[in-house]
Amino acid sequence: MTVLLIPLLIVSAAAYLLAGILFLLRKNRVAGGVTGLGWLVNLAVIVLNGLIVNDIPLGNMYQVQAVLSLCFLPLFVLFSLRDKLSWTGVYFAFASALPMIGAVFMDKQAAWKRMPALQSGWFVPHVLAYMISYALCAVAFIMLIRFWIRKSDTAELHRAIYQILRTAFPFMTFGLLSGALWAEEAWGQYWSWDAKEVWSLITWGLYLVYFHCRKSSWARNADWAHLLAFLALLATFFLVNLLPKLGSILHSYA
Amino acid sequence: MILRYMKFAIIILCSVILLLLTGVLPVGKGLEATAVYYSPVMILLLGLLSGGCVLCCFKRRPLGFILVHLGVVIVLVGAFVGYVTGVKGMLQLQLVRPVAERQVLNQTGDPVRFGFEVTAKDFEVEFYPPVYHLYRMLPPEQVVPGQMPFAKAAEYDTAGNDFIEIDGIGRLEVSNLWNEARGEWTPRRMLDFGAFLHLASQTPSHYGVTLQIVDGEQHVELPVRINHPAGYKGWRFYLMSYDQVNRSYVVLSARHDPGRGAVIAGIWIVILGTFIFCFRRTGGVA
Repeated sequence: MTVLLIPLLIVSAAAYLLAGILFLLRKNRVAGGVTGLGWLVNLAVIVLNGLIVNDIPLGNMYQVQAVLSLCFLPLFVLFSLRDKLSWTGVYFAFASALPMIGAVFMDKQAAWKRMPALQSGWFVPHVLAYMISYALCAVAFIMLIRFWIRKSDTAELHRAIYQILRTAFPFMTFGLLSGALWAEEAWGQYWSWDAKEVWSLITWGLYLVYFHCRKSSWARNADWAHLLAFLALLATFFLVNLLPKLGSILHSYA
Repeated sequence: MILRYMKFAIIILCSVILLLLTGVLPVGKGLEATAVYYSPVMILLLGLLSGGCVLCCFKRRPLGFILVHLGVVIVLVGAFVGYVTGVKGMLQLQLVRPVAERQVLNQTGDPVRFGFEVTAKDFEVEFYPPVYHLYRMLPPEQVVPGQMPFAKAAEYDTAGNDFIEIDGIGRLEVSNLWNEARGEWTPRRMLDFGAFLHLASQTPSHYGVTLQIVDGEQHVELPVRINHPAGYKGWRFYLMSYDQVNRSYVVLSARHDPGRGAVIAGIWIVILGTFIFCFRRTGGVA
């Protein structure tokens, strides 16, 4: 089964990229279909990962990134229906491709033995909430970059960024606080000042600064807060695991 | 007025973030992180944040807004109560010749009495199916004097597998590695050509113990597992680890925290408030 993983990952990533290009060319219907195809292949990768590890496939960065990619399409459908943001398809499609491209080159370590502390009902909601919020934050950040490159459709883009981050934030809050409740249940303390915990708190705080900036007379600084928040998010998600000096002991498995 | 409160909140939040960064960034020789997080400056900033949130609770604003700020205040008050009046310590309970423990040493090393006796019994641990390492004999020219004449050649995970396929030797049923009489995995299995399989360290999937509480005439038994602490008369016991060699003791964390209820309630209020506030209808206006 493991031999199927790389071809499936490549097909899924390619479909997401192609969908992004089709959205750019305003062939929205075809783009939607190609995104759906990429999503189904993405789903197949996750099912395969689950069968290989015989557990929930959230054991390492490769498996988590495959789940992250899967979050984008349902969220895009939600925003299209609820907020009339179907024009954001291009951002969602490219954002879906990035984790899948990364996953192609990652170590696809098959065996995963969940340590006793991870055998908890909090595990899936905690990780999924973070994945949903990170997916949305990635889309909002790509839109911010687009705004900085071409300063057109300013009001529409800012409205969309705000709507997306407003949906991301409760999930990020749930991820952060459910982690605290889980840690209390497992080790008797909500917070251990572990590197990953502190970076996630910094990320959450910076998004909070973004929301407060928007409602204050410092609104023009909101974009900078957004930029810093996303950089902190990247540090939380990647750097803490990759740089030994920033290493996290309690989150060494994630 | 609202704008002034927002600016105040931004300044406090940015200050807290800067302090957090000084603790977490590996700059210079690195500051003692906890010294930063528990510094008077941090406590002052959290106090100011709490004060700002209290003021927000009295504004005519949407329900979600009020709940979020109220929740933050409750969490910070509960955490402060726990910080000032709470007791926390580690406890090692013997399993072979159980000795009743009546107290725990707190963070400053002073003994704090439980008001009852605690002993541990019936320790249980379950393991995942093991990994075996394959060792092969080295050719004579590769043997270094004073070192073992074999080297690790492969690794086999038995989890979810009925058999393992060993290069040059053939297929081996996983069930043949389980010693039914002793109820354990065979530590070493000899194979052809001087090769052998060696049981690698096993990963526990679950472990738990039963706490026996003697409180005057009352005897209570409480099971404790990872993620499932036990509570008795305001004390909570968390299973942290165990003696992996002889299984002669377990290590527990004992905690008495009068602020716990407030912190948990506050956390749920913040979560609920954030969802209500961020998912409220704004008519598409950002």
